Amino acid sequence: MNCDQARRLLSDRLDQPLPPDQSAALRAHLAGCRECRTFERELTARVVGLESLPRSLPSPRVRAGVQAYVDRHDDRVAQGLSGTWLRQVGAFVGAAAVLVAVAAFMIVLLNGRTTGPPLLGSSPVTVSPTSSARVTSSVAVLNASPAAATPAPWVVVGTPPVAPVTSTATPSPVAVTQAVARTTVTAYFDAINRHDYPGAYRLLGADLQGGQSLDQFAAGFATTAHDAVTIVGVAPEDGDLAVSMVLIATQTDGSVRSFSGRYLIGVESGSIVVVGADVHEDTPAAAATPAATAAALPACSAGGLEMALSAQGATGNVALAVVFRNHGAPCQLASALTLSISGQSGAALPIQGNAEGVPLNIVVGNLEAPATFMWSNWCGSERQFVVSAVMGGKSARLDQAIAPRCDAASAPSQLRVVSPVTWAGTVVANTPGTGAITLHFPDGTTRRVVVGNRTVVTDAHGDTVRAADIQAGNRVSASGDVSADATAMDAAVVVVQP
Amino acid sequence: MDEPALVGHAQAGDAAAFSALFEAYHGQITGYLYRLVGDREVAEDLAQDTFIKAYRALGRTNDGLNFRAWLYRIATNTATSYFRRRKIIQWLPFGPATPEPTGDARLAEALGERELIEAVLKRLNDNYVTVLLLRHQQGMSLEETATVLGTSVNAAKVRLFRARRAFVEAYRALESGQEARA
Repeated sequence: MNCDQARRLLSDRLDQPLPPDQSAALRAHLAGCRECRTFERELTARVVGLESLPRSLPSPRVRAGVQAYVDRHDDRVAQGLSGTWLRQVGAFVGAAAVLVAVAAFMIVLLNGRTTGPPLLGSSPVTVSPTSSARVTSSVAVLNASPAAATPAPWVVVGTPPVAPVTSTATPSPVAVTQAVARTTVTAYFDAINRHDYPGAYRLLGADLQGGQSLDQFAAGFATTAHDAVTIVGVAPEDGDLAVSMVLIATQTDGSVRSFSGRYLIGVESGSIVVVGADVHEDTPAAAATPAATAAALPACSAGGLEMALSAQGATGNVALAVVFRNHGAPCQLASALTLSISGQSGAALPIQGNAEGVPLNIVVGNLEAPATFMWSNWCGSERQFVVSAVMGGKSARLDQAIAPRCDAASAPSQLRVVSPVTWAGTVVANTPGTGAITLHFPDGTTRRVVVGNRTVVTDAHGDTVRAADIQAGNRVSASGDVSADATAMDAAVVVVQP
Repeated sequence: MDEPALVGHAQAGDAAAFSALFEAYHGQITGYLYRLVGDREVAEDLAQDTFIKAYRALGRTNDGLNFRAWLYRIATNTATSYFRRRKIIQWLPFGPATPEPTGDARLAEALGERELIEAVLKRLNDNYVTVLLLRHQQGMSLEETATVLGTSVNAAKVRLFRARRAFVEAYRALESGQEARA
């Protein structure tokens, strides 16, 4: 037996007992080989070391992320994956129970019972389909825009995307969980964003349909390009569930409007619908981004600063991110950044906005702070690209082969900066449990900012700060994936100072 | 309810059963991915992706699914995709001068036992780290490790041997540097 064979057996022995003959041969080899005895000792110690590493790392962020996805799980339905998933299991609640599947929302109609533990900690509220306790009097009139030209992002919700299966039992209570309430709201906006207006319209309760036809309803979205809804809380309210949310509505002309308020989710005729809403516009259409203010942080020095480039396909476009990070305390980086795209020959490609300097003023922490450019509509023949970022005499380069979809050969290809947006303000209030802080900005406005769970919050030394610990009077500087009107941020770098 | 029954219910679309499985495994999956990629935030993102993929695919799996092995396989594949994507990013120093190289020995001086293990893992081939973590950190059997990797038991055994040998050698190199400086 040579050393290699002996060490293989030493390894195998950790997984299963060796046959007697191999075991004896190994012992004989070890008796005469000091190196292999050393290997045996080290191997044992290293395995013990590996086994001593903590096995589990529970993460509230993972739980929240998965919960949010499961809440929106109607995409399974859209992808035709729902067949087996949506089949409810009678055995889980007892064979005698009468099951009625209300498919996509994981709702089970039972004789007065819900189906076991709530999903990922949500709290079920049971209401009767014949309940008269619904609040409608406080509900604002929805979709009551004076003209169809006004976008109607505040219009509401309705029935699940999969119609309920008819019950053979007497009317049964429907369990509306917080997860269901959230899903109902997100399903509505998903339908709007897919331009599935009939689907969205079906999600409206009778009061909210309010006599308008489907065509009238759809016309209300003529100038809405995309609605991004962020749910900030769900709470029981008079037998229904009130879903608090902030909505960022991007218009077809590229402008952004923001709304906030509540949707009431309840039951009508055995279906989960939006039974009411109280939504108002926060930001006058004319309001712009609060100006990026004078740096509240020290200027970045080149010593600790790094830059990288990445490319990612994004719904037909290519997102090119120039990413910065600073080894040390957070700092403010103000300079001009030039991004250019060229072909293999080195010649700049004919793209609008290519190689144009962009003023950059961002907060850079010890985690990545991206400046993101969106490249669209590439109809050229070139398929191998060199992307270069130049800033302050330094450069980064990326060779990549991801091209945007060719949408219109007659239109120019475009490169435009989409983030980061940078702003700074002073905290007015931080209401625990809402996921939002209220900030006063130098332009005189006060806005409620939803803090997404990918946001990195640190103090001026770079140490992590829990969002719950942000206090009134703190100064906040933020950059990254924040909404242009400063009402929501996610994947942002936020620095809080006393 | 035992795990096979929970898995059966989750396969049939029972959200509460999926929730129970999530609670049982999300800490371990996140811990595994954290050791694999060495970055907590990335590990959390990958763990999230893992459970979402599992959620979407569970309804299409067969009866008698070995849920744990299946879930770790998804996690491993998700991490592998991450490693491939990561390779297109290369951090460049922004400063004019390159700082004095930090040798293994100097690095090792500052490290305790656990940090040393972590530093060694970062130096190993991703495939070796995966098999070491599955077998030793997550405590899987050889057979289960092979299932997660999608290989035969013999192939898993060979990979384990190579990974252990590489781990011992890399640890020795780092540690001897440490001792030389001490």
